[in-house]
Amino acid sequence: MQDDPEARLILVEVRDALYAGVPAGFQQRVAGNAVALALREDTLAAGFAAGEATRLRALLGRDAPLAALNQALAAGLRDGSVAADDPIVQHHLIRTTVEKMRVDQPQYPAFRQWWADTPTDAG
Amino acid sequence: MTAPLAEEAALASAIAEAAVAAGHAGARVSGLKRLSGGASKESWAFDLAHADGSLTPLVLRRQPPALRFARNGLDSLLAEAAVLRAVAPCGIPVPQVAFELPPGSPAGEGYAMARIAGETVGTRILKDAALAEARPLLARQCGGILARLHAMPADRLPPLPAVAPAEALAQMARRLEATGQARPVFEFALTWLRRHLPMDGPLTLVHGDFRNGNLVVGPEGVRAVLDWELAHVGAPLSDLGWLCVTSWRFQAPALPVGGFGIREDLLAGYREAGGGAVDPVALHAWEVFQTLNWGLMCAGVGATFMNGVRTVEGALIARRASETEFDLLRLLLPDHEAWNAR
Repeated sequence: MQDDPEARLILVEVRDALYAGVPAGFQQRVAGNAVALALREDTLAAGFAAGEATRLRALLGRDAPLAALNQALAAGLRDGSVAADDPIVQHHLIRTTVEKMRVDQPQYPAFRQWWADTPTDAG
Repeated sequence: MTAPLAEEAALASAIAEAAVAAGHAGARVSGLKRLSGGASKESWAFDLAHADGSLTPLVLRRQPPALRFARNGLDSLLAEAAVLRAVAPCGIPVPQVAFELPPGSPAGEGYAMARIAGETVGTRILKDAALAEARPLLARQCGGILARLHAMPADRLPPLPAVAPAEALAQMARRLEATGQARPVFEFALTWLRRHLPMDGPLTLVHGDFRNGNLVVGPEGVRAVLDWELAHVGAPLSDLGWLCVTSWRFQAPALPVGGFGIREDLLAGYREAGGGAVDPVALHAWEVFQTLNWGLMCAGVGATFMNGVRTVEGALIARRASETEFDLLRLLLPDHEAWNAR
């Protein structure tokens, strides 16, 4: 699932900053980046959350809201009841992280490099 | 960022007073200008105009009286100045401390140091044409500087907090819990670190924030190491690991040392300066540790935001926690088949 703060809270801050007056240059670029992130979250996050919940239900063998499933996975990894060396668990962690990066920072240099070098699932 | 003029004039006269008290008779302060950076600590550039008309370019690091309790890392800026004074004679390039602010100074607590010309912005260090010949030298130079730093005899250091690896890991678990958000990737990394982080070995002086972005670089290479406020006694490899964190490589992730060099050069420089042979497996574990460390800093900014201290910039730093999750999984599961398709 996407991290805090969610898109709506970010947009509130951008709105308030714009009303207060955002100077051209760095601050303006930061505001633009924040809106871009919120737009990506709006487009992508619901689909990612649905897939993530499906994977977590299969991993943990139970149903609950996504936040609770995530908490259970985190707790299981901490106390060892979820095996950190299980390739299916690892697959889930990688998939979920890639989805977060597609919302948070698709231009992060190391991520962009991996993305450019990697064929699509269908390919 | 801009202090009212009266406040600036008062700061200038407080600095001049401190300079005179430190033996610069008749000195005045000109060209005082706030530099960007620190939330709790401020940096100001100024020229010290001496009685004979000569100018010394200096930087004041200070904690204003009102911010006295907003502390992080070293106990005080005076402790930071003491560290700079201690390491300077030992082959570690740092700005020379010019004078400290005396107790009770209206400028607050702090010290003035030499203003060293050169590039400090990480992304520019990686692309400025004038630094093209410096870039291939930097990794080896950083190795040499770190080896000398880690060899500092304890009796020449001011009192510093000591953090052994086991305690550093325990602190991380507490920081993760304090973010209030479930983070399976961070738990995965912590579990791995408990098994793989080297727990033994001597503790030494470490810089604590030694990375591209805290170096002053000129065409001949590293001119100075800045930002000593996180200096402490800890595992020496923690400094080398931090320098290799992917986030500090900026636009050049394929060059693991600060985006400018390779680990082999860093470790060769370290060895040549007496730092001994570094086990690449141990360095890898410290890279994992420090990547998680940066991730927890981002997540901590997120918790601060959710607790009500809200800025656009804070939101974007919070949402950088995922870049460290990506980097952690690349470090820990480089060969997993999930990376083979997107």
